Amino acid sequence: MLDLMKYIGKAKIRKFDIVFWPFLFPLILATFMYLAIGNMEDADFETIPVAVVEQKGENLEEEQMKEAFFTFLSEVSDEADAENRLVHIEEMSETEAKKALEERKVDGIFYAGKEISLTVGRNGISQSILQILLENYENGKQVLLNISQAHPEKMEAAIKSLSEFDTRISQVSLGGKTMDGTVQFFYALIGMACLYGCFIGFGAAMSLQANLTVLAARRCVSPVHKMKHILIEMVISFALHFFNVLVLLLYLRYVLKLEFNGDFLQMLPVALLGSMLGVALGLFVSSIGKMREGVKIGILLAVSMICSFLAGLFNGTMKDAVERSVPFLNRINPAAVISDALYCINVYDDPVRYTKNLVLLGVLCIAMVLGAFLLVRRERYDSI
Amino acid sequence: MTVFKAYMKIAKKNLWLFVMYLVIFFAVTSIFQKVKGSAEEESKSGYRTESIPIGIVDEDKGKLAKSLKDYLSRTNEILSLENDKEVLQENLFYRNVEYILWIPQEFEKTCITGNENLRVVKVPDSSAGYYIDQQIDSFLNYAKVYKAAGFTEEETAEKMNEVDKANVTLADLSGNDGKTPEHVFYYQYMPYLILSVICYMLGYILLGFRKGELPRRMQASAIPKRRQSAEGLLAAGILSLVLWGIVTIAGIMLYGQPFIRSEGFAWFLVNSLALVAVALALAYLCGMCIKNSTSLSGLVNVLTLGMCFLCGAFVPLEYLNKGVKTAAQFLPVYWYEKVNGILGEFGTIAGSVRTEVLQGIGIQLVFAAALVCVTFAVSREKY
Repeated sequence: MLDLMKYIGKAKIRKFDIVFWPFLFPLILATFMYLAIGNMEDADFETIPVAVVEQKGENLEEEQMKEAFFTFLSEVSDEADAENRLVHIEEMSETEAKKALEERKVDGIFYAGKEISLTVGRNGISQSILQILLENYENGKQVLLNISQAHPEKMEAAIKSLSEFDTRISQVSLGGKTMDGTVQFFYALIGMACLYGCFIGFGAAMSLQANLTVLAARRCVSPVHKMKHILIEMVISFALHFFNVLVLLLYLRYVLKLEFNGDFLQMLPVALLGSMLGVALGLFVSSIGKMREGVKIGILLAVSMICSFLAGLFNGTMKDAVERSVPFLNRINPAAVISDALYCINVYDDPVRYTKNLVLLGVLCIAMVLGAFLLVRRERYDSI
Repeated sequence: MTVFKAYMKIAKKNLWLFVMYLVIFFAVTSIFQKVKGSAEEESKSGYRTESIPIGIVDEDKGKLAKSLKDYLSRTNEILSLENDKEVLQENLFYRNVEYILWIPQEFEKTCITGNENLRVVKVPDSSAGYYIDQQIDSFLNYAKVYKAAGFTEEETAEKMNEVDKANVTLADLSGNDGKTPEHVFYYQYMPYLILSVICYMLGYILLGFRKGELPRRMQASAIPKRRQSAEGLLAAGILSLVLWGIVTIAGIMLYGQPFIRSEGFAWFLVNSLALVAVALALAYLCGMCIKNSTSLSGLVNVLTLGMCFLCGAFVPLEYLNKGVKTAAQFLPVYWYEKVNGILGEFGTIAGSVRTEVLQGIGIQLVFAAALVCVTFAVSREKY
């Protein structure tokens, strides 16, 4: 029995298909995804460089307006530490400014003249921030004008209040451990890795079903009890893939240092059930019918890729979009359930939802394992 | 032309693969384009203000609160949310909203008359966060000024929305009105298709030629070695050109006149052709190094996915971090994507822009030549 386990195990880890797809490929894909999107969204803010072009004012009033705008700008750009400055202002001549805009050295040009206007080179958030700055300034002017018309006697109080212009918001927490949306790609990736266990299941089926390979046929006529074969294949496959998923989890948590900071013990049952589910899926699909090897691999790939796609492997909002339109799909899609369970552990502690996900995963897993088991057991062949 | 015919025969056997990749490619491209398209559809040409989805929990429901919401909705998309932390967190995590704002009960008393700050949740240090901060700050501060000047809540609420839009002009440096034409995305994803299909196709063919005694029989045949290689190259070249032709025609059919008439049209074709050359050279090298079809699919997947992720095919170059971009310069697809980006951004290709485009295409061809040299070296070592 132990001998059999040893050799089946050894045979498995020497096969390229079984080592590459369920083990190496998710690690490689995780690395690529980490490099491409790992540090994408948080803290993308950089001080916005902007040019100011002074245009000759015609009279004193215009000169004063210009002065006021310059004071306003210097106030916004004046922050003690250079890192946190909203904008960085440079005075330039018109030609210099245009050249700088063309070369992308500045994001916009303020023309301070009779009217103050903004010119930008393209659409984007930095440009919109500049627009809002200009609007804020214009607003201020409008506010004072309105007050001078309606309550001229209160002008002093208004100006005093205006001089207290300050930030009036404070950031609070929602209780979630992270707001980094990119990490959800990696939750979906774990879902994919679990499902890729189907390649191990496929290999197992190939060595169990006598109508598929010669090796399986030989094993069928060997004096070892069929049940023993099936159990050993299953146990070794489950263990192997559980190990694969664990390595991936550890890699994401400790090497790539992604947001997998929840309780690791809570992730274990997810990994265990997920990996079993993947293997069982492979065993199940491969045992049905007499389709060609290529076709079966195709089906397995298609199923695991569609599931991972719907769980958000390629598009961050996918899973949530499915939740809104066809919530049932998210309950039966193993990749989505796995990803959701990881969300509960790592982002927002929700024991009820986590337990629900585990139960779902368990049910899906048992259904698959039972299905696969019923297909491979008690298969008898005529003697010819 | 026996060798040529044999190439075509193997290619024909793997036609399903060719078709499968084309289907996947067009499906994925059109899905992504739908997602992107719906966001850009309403946008006019010329300058437009960024719109950020903001979730607002309004517990006040008064006039001033409504005024604040109207104020923000001039430029942003507003979503009313319930005060349930779990729901809010999930909405933020999946980026249905990028900013959350609580308007407390008795908003006017606490935040305008009083000095309490407004509570918000945002992604720390993000541009979008600063953008909305500015708008809210401006509203609150000016509302305070009105208050100090003796305006009532109603008056303040009314006045706050009489704000004029700033005078912004878009200097149309690129000649395409500040919009990225749709076919740029199509060409952006294309390396995945071209690299996968050509590498798989040639890989299977070269594997076929190495089966059993075939190499020895071919060596002993009357057709000289040079002729065999030349026919092989011709076949591979024709197959790749067919693929290039299909994607080009599909592109023209999908994007029609605006694509054909754009000044970058010819450049897009040249650039993708350079990519085909790179793919062909790379495919030969892969075909030399692999032993069986399982290792072929492993190698092809790692190479294509790797290059597409790191060189800006899946995630645009501007979002990649500096280190990755520097490393990616040693990969040919980076230069393809760089040229693609330039072509998308500039409506007119002239002067320094033209030099950059030519440089990018040139570097791809150098990569192709280098890969061919490596292939020769490898094949000399091996056979």
